[in-house]
Amino acid sequence: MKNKNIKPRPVYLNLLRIRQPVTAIASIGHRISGVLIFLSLPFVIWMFDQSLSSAAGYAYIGELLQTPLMKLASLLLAWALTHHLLAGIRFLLLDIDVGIALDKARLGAWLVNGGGIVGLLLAMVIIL
Amino acid sequence: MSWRAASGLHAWLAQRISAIYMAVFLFYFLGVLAFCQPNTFQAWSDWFASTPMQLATAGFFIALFWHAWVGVRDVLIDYIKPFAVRMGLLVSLAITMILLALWVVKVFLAGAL
Repeated sequence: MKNKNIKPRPVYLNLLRIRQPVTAIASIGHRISGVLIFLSLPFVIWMFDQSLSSAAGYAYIGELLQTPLMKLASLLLAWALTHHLLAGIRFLLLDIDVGIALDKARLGAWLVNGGGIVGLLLAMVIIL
Repeated sequence: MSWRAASGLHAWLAQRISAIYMAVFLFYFLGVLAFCQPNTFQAWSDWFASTPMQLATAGFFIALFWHAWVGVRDVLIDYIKPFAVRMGLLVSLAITMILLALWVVKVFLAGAL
């Protein structure tokens, strides 16, 4: 039984033209950063293993981290960790009704997104 | 289906408990890195040689795998709709997690730690 008077809902999925609210950016950033951290795990565990196995292994990881590709990966991971941690803290606070009002939730999302960038800049200062 | 499996409360709670543990551990870990700078092999391995640090680190990895399993599983279930592909990826994820966890156990048993 279709009601012909109801217009079909607009389907508008051009990602380049959808303007996401700041809270949505914080949220999808939480997902993307989480997946990035997960993908880094085999490599991070390997480096952890090497660094503790012997003095030579430790030195090798130290050198490896100085290569441009690894510096780039470290920066990406620094953003991912900072954003994921901050967004996670925001979600935990939302769970206990802290910052749940729309204006506060937006402010929190701005702080999370900005904090991720600050984490990236901090890592740039340390690494580069 | 049991109440636990049906509600998702177990995963929800696991995600939060592991998150809080990891956040506390990370602040401690980064604090030591920043202020004590264990930047020789001796200092680095000595740090991980103490029993409290071994226990705390083991706890961190348990929390990490628990957290990552729930998180990546949620992402897969949200975006991968065809049943066979979804199950295939979930099984691959579970196997990957188990292998990574065994690898960490190996690092712990290797002695230096």
